[in-house]
Amino acid sequence: MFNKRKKSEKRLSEPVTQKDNTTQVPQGINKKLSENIFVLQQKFGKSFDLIIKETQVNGVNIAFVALDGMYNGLHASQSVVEPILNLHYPCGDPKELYEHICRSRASECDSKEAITIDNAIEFILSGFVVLFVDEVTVCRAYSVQGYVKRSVEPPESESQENGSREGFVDMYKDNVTLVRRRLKSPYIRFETLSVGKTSNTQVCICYHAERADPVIVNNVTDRLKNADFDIVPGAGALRPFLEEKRLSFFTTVGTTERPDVFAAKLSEGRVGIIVDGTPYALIVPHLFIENFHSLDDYLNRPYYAAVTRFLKLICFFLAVFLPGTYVAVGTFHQEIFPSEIIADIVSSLQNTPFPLIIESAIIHFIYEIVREAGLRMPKPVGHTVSIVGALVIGDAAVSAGLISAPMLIIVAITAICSAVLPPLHEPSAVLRFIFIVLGGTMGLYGIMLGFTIIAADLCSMNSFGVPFTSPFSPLDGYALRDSFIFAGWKKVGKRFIQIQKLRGTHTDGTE
Amino acid sequence: MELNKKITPFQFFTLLFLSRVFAMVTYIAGINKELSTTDEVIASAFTGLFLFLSAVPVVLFLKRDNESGIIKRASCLSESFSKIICVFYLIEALYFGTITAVRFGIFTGSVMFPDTNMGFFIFIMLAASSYIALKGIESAGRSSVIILIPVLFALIFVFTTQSDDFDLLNFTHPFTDKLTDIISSGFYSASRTGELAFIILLTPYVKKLKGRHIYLWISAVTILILITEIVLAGVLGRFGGTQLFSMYSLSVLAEAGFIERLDAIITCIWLLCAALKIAVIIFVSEMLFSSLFGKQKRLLFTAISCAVIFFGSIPLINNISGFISLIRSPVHPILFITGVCVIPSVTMLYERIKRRKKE
Amino acid sequence: MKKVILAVILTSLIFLTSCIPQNTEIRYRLVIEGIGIDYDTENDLYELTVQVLETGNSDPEQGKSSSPVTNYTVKGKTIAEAISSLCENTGKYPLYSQNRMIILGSTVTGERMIKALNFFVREYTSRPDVFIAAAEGKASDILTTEVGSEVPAKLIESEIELCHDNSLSVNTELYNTVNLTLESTSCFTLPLLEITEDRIPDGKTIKITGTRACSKRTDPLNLSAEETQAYLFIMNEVKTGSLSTDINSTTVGFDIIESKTKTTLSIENETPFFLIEVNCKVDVIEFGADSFDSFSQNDLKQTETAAAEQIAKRMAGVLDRVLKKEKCDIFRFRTRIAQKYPEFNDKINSDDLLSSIDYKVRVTVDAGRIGQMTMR
Repeated sequence: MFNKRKKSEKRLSEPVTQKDNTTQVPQGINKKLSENIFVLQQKFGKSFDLIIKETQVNGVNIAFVALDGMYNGLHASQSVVEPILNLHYPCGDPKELYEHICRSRASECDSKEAITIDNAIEFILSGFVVLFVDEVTVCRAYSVQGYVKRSVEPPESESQENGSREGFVDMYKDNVTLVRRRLKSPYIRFETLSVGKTSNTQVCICYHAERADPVIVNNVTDRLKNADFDIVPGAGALRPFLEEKRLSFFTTVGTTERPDVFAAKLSEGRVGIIVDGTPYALIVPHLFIENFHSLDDYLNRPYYAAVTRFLKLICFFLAVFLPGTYVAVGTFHQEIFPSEIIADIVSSLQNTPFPLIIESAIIHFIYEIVREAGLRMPKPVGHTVSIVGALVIGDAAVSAGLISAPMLIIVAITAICSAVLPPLHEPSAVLRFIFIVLGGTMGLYGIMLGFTIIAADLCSMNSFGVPFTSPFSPLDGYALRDSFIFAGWKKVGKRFIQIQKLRGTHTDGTE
Repeated sequence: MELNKKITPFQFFTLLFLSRVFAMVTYIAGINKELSTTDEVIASAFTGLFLFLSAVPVVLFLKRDNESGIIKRASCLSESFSKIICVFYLIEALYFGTITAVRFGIFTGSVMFPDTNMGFFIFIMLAASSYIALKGIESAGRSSVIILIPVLFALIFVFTTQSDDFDLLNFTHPFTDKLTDIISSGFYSASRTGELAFIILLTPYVKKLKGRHIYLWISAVTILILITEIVLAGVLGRFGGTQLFSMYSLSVLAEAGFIERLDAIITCIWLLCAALKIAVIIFVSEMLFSSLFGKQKRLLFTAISCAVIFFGSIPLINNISGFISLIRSPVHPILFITGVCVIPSVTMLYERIKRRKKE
Repeated sequence: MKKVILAVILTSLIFLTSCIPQNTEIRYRLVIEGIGIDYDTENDLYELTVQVLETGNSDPEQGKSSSPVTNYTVKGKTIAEAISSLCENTGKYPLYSQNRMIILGSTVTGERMIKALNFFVREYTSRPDVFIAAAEGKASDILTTEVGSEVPAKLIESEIELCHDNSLSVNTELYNTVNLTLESTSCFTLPLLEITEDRIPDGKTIKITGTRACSKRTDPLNLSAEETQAYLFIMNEVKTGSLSTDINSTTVGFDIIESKTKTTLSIENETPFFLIEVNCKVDVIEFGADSFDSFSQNDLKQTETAAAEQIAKRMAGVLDRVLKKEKCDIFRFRTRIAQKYPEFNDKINSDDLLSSIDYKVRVTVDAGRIGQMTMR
C-alpha cells in the first residue's frame, strides 16, 4: 500500500532542485547581438509579450529587450530609448559606445549590469528594459518597471482605531519603502534572495543590524536558501521552513499586514521576511503572547491595553474551551449548572434527538461551513450565505428540535470570541472540536488533560531558540511589562527589548 | 535530550511542588492511623521536620557537585555500583508511579466519575503524561509554572472561602493520641514525598541547584500541608474522617457569593498536577533505563515505563483495602529512606574513600 | 510503522470510550430538589418523598405546567433501596447535586435518623452542604405543600437562610450534623418546619417555628422561636435580627446590628463553670410612646438594661431547660471541656458532667442609633 503511494508520488511529481551555480556553467552574453537575440527568443518561445527592438546608434547594432506590460512605456522611452537613440558619439567602437551610454544621460535612470543571459532574463522578467550592444559581452538593465500594482491601502485584517492607515501591498519594494519611512536608521538591513525555481520570487530579509541576533539572521537566510521550492504562492508557503520541524497547532512565525507593527518588531531584534507578491510580512521569532497584542494597545492608555488583552485572553479560552466545557458539564458535571437555569436547559435538551457531543459537533461543523462559505463567496452572495446560515442554524434547527437553544447561544459566543483573535482562528477552530470530543467522553477531566497537553506542547516550542511561552515561562520580569499588561511608554519606551535576550533563549541552532 | 536545555530551579521545584500537591489533594482518609483533628495538624508539622532532616544528605550531596547527578557520579566510582543504583531508583520511580496512578484512578473513579472503569482514566493519563515526558523536562518545567497559577488559585479559593464554616470547637486537645502514633503518621506522610529522591537524579537538568532551593521547597510543601490540615480540621472536623477524599469534600463546600458548586472544576485543576507528576516519573524512569542499557531509545523506554505503571496499577484500583495495606506497609518508608538518605550517603562515603586512596 | 501505531492507539481510544457510562447526560437524570424522609412504623420501611424538577414541558407556546416540580413517593428498607425503586419507576438516574433539602419527619429520630443520613454521607454524588431540617409531622406533607409556582424545597431553603440571618432559625448542613453526631454527646439542632395557614388566603404555607434538638440517645426536643434566638446567642451565631422589650409599659423595638459571644470555661471546685458574655449592638427602630419626641437619655439607658435582661433571661431559660432538665448538650459544652480539660472530661461520665455544669450569663447591650428623633 505504501509502495503504491510512493509510485504514484513518483509518477505525479518531480523533485524540485535549487539552481546550483557551482555545477551548472552560466551562459555568458555572446559577442554577436543576433546570437543573444536568438537565445532569448528560444528561451521565451512564442510568448507574445517579449519585445525586441533592434536599431543602430552611430552605426553600432543595439537591441532593447523587455516584456510588454512589465515596464512603464513613457518612462522607458523618455529616460532610456530616446536619450540612447539621440546620442551623438561618432566613435564606431561598440565597447566605447556602450561605456559612453552607461556614463551618459541615459544612465541617470537606475541601471544594473548583467553578465550572463540568465542574469539578463531575470531582469527582463522583473520589468527592466535590457540593452544589448553588438560586440559587447555585457548588457545593461534599466529599472523602468511599470506594471499594474495596487496602491497602498488600509490593512484589512489588522484594522486599528488609532494606527496608521497604510498596509503592506503586493510589491515588496513598496513594502520596503513603507518600513524605511518608519525606521530611518542605517542599521536597518534589507537583503534579498530569490526563492522558487520557477517563480523566482524575491524574498527580502529585514533586520536591525545592531539588535538582531546574527545567528537568527543567518539561520533564517540559510533556511530560506535551502527551501526546496518550485513556486512561492505567498509568504505563508515559507512558514513551514521557518517553523520547527514538528506537529503543532500553533505557529512560531508571526505575520503582519502593518508596516508600523513590522517596524516595531524589527526594532526589538526580530527578523522580518517580506515576500514579493504578498501583502503581509512574516516575523520571527514570534511568541505566543504576541497573538494577543495589537497596535492600539500601545496607542491607548495602558490600563485599557491591559483590559483589552485580558479580554482577548478570555475570548481565546472561550473560543477553544466553551463548547467542550458545555458538553462536559451537560454530560457529566450537571452540578455546575445554576439551579435557576437547570430546568430550562433540561427541558430544552429533552426534545433534541442527539447526545450533546454529537449536537455540539454538528452545529460547530455547520458554523465552520457557513463561515468558510461567507469568506470565499463574492461579497453580494456572502450576505445570502449569512442569511441562510442564520435562518438554518438560528431558527429552523431549533424549531425543528434538531438542536437546543442553549447550544445555539454557545455557538454564537464561540463564533464572536474567535473573531476577536484572527491570528489564533486556525488553532482555535480545530482545538474546539478536539475539546468537544474530550469533554463529551471524559468530562472536565478530559478538558483539563487536553489543556495540559496543549500547555506542554506550547511550552516545548521555541521560535529560533526563543521560548514560545516567554516571558511567562521561563519567567522574565522585565519583559512582563509588555505582556498581558502594558506598563506604558514612560516605562517601556526608555529601553528596548532584544528578543534573543529573553530568559531561556538558546539561539545556538538547537530547537 | 540536549543538556544545554536546563531548567531553572524555580521551574524544577514548581514541578516537584505540584507533584506533592497531587499527593496532598488525593490523600485517602484511613491511610495513616486515624488521629484526632489537632493531632493531625501536629503530625503535619512532624512531616515538615522529617522532610528537613531527610533532605540533609541530598543537600550535602549537591554541595559537592550540583552539575552531575547521582548516576553519573556513581558511574565514576564503579560501573556496577551505578547499575545497582539505577535499578533501585528505577524500582522506586515505577513504584511511586504506580501508587500515583492508583490514587488518581481511585479519585476519578469514585469521586468524579462513579461507576466508570478506572483503568480507562489511568490509560489516558499515562498517554498524556508520556507525551509530556517525551517533550522533555524543559517542557514539563515550563508548563508547571503555567499550571501552578490555576492550581494555587483553586487552593486559595478553597481555603479562603471556608472562613465562615471554620469552627475552633472542631479542634481537639493536643496530644490526645499517643505521641508515637503522631510521629509515625508524620513520618509516613513525609515518606510520600518521593520527589526528594528525584532531585539528585535530575540534577544535570537543573541550573545551579542549591541546598537553599531544596529547603525553600520543603518549607512551601510543609506550609501547604499544615494549612490544609488546619482547614480540614477546622471546617470538616470529624466529618473529614468519614470521607474517602477529604480535600474533595472541602472543595464541595467552597463557595463565594454566586460562585458555587465549582468542585468539579477545582478538582479537575488539581488533577493537572497528576499529569505532571506522572510525566516526571516517566521521564526519570526513561532516563534510568537509558543509563542502565546505555542506549537512547526514548520512545521504547517510555512505553515500557508506562506499561509497568499501567499493569501495576490495574490489580490495585479494584482493591482499595489492598492498596491501603500496601501504603501502610514498610515498603514506602524503606524506599524513601534508601533513596533519599542511604544511597546519597553511601555514594559520598565511597567518593571520599576513593579520593583518600588516590591521595 | 509509527503511523500504524498511532492509528492503533487512536482506534483503541475510540473503543475505550465505551468504558464511560452513556446515560450520565442531563436529560437522563432526575434533578432532585428536595427529599423528605418519613418512617412507616407499621411496615418498618423508610418512606421517601422525592421532589424532582419538572422538565417535560419546554414548548413556550403551551406555557409551563402549573407546578415546577413532581413529587414521587417510594418506600424501602433502606434509603438506597427506596432510591433504586425510584430509578426503576422513572427510568432515570437521580442527580443529587441540585438537592437543597433533606427533611426528616417526626418519625425519623435517633438511630433511624443516623442510618438515613448515613446514605447521604456515603453517596459520592450527594453534597455535604445540603440543608437538613425537621418536620413537625410528616416530611412528605411539608414537601408536597402547594406554594404556587415556586419550588417548595427552594422556598424552604431561602426561608431557612433568611430566618438564620434574622436569628430565628438554626442553619444545619449535612456535614455539620454528621460532625456533631460523631462528638461524645452527639447532639445537634435542626430547623423545625410546620405547615401553617396564616399567610396566603385559602392556602397553606411552610413556616419555621423553631428548632428541634436531636440526639442519638434522647428524644427530640422542640425549641420555640424565642428559645432558638437565645440558643443562637449562646452559640455566637447571631448575625442580625430584631428584639422587643417593654419599659414602663412602652414597647421598644430593636434591630440587632452585631452580636459577639465569648464563652470562658474554668474548673472551679471540680465543677465546670461557663461564663457566657454577650455584647450586643442594637439600633432602636421603634418606640411605642404617645409622642414623637419623647426618647430621652434615661429612656435609652433603661432600654439597654431591659434588653440585656431579656436576652440574659432567655439564654438562662434555654440553658436550664435543655442542658439541665433534658440533658441535651446542643451547646457543645462537653466538647469545650474535652478540648480544654481532657483529663477532667475523661473522669466523669456524660450525664453527671452535664448536670454538674455551672454557668453564668452576662449580657451588655449598646444602643447605637436611635432612629430619627433627637435626644433630649
